Amino acid sequence: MKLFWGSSYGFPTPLPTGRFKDYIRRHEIVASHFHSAYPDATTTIVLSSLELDAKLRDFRARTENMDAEGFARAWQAFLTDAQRCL
Amino acid sequence: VNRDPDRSGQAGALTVLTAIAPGAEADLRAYLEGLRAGPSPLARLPGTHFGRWVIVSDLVAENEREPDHLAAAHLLFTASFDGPADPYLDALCDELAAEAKEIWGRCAGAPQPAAGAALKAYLRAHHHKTGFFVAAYPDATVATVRAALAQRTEAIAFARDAQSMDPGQLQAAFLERLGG
Repeated sequence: MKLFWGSSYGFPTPLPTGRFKDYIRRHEIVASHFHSAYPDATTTIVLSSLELDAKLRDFRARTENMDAEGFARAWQAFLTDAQRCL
Repeated sequence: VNRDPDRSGQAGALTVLTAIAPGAEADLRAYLEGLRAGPSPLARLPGTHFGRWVIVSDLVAENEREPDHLAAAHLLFTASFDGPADPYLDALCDELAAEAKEIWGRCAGAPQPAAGAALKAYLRAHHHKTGFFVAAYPDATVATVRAALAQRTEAIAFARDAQSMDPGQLQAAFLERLGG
């Protein structure tokens, strides 16, 4: 924060956070128009989705020739591994 | 190492700052705020992750001895998008032709009409290199992100549904719903 705003007039240092937040709020300008291509997704959800995609690709490749019983066991292991993405 | 400050992976950043023509700020603000009523025109620009128009009316003083003030209100346009800037600017000047006339047409020195190659040159002339640009998922395009989000939604539903399936049903349903 010091590197970004340290050369600006009135910068109160990052701590305590209350004064810093007041400084940012004083200089905030609301956008007249804002667009997001995926407005309902947080950055965390996007990153989880991309990680899940990679895991699913790997899972598909590993289970391509498995019989149903083996697939079911692999699915349970997959759920354990990928649960933080879901 | 990517040395272009407007790049982060495959993602690009565009920052354009233009002075608003005298007396045009209120109409420009009303036009931009009116865009909220319908789908954003930026949704028609392929590969746009985020975009915004911001009117900077003046600077906020911080007890400087000689506070700086803008001689004119300015319009800031920023976007994060897929791929290089040049084709993105082409698409912007083409796909957003009607809106661009209403937006940059109200800015000082803009071509009249604000469209086509003349608008692209105007935006280029008022482009500012980004000081620091970071994308949280720099190699994912808009299409990739949307597909991954939809797949995650389907995976969550499938995980719930699969609890009551026997192994044969599970494998067949997976291939049907998440088989790629």
